[in-house]
Amino acid sequence: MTTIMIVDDSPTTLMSMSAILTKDGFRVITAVDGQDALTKVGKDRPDLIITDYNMPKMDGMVFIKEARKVSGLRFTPILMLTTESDPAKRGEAKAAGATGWLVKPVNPDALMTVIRKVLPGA
Amino acid sequence: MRAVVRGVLRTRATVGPPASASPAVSRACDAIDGAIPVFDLLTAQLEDVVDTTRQAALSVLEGTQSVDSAAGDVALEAGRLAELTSDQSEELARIAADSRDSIAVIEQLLAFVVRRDQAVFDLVAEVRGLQDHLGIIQKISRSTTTLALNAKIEASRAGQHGAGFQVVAEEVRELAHQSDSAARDIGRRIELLAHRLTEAMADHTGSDAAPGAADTDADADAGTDAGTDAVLTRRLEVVAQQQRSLAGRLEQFTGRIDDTARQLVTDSATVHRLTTRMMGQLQFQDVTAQMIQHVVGTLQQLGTELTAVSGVLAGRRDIEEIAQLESAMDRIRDGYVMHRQRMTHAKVTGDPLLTDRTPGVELF
Repeated sequence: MTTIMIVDDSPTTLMSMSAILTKDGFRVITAVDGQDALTKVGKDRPDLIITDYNMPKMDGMVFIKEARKVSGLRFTPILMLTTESDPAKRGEAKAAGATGWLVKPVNPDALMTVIRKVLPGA
Repeated sequence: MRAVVRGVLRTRATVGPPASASPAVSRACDAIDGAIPVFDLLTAQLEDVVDTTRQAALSVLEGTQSVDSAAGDVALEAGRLAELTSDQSEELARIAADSRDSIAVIEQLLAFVVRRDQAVFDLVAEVRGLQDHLGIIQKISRSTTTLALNAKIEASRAGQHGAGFQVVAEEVRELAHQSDSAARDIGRRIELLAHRLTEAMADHTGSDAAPGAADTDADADAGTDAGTDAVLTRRLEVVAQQQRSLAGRLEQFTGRIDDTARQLVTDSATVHRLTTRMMGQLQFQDVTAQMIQHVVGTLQQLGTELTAVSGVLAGRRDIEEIAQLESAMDRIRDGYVMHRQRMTHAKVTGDPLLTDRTPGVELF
């Protein structure tokens, strides 16, 4: 089963995204910030990571940079799901190794389309 | 966020006008000190809005998940019903096929009975036709009797010479009598046989059809040759018709159940799609929370800076400490993360409204 990790400090986003993805047959693991996510990816290697940008302790940008240093996550798709719409930050995320950028609120159908593009077998 | 508020409150504890300050400055400091708790109050109220909307969003999410789960259960049950109906349909189709076979057998039987009845009625007619032949035999007997009587008279006239002939005439008369008696007996037997054949073909049950059959002529026809044939034929036709009707109704019934089950599956899928969309819309809480947090941060900053103003007025702080206040609008604008915030800012300040050309979804 395809595993997707959601990283967000908002309980609403964590729960709603988990519910949507679980309904579509994915296994979901959650983390409340970048630091929490780095701890969890060591134990449970996800096939896709969807992370928020603004989070306490470690934000999404730093998390992506750190995640790309982990050998098993070098090619794992990482999508930024955030309220941020600043083009400069998008560029920064791309440079850090992000696979894509989704602006909240994202339509579940659009989210599924993106997931199928980055995970063709899912 | 509450920890930040508490920190702000601590930094404002030293605010207050010096004893040497002019009455106007003292009053300004008191006004600022009086206004500062308003920032804290607004901050707390906005935090409460965030908490409330979060709770509401989570409740809506929970409810939506329950609806979705129920729809899933309905879809599951509908699927089972569809499978069951499908199984039953096959079974009922077999029953319908058996019924059609039965109908074919009944129709063959019907044809056989009609042919047999016709053959029997023909036989009865043939047997009754023999009565005519018996009439000829009886006529011959009567003529023979007359002839014997005449012979006997002629023998009497002949006297002694006619004695032998008289014996022969008597024998002929006796023979004619026996022939007539035998013919009558055969006639009775033929009549009895015809009657028995007719009786065997007659209907004695008093009704001509199974329940539900509409045939008012049946009773009137029962007991007659033609009626017997018609009654039996109608009965078999009614049975065949009932079999056809039953098979048709069974097919319609299973078809309707199957359609209903399929509709339930479709409806459940629609509910599933709608609840998924609703779950996605709950991201509004995260979006509004971030907008409110930006407002809260700004209020805190303004509170801190007003405290500094009070300090400058009281002579305890340097005038440079309030320089940031002059560029407050720029700092607020720089803190925006959403296009919507920038649009609201531009509407208030009269700045040109910029169109957001960045896509909501972008793969690098």
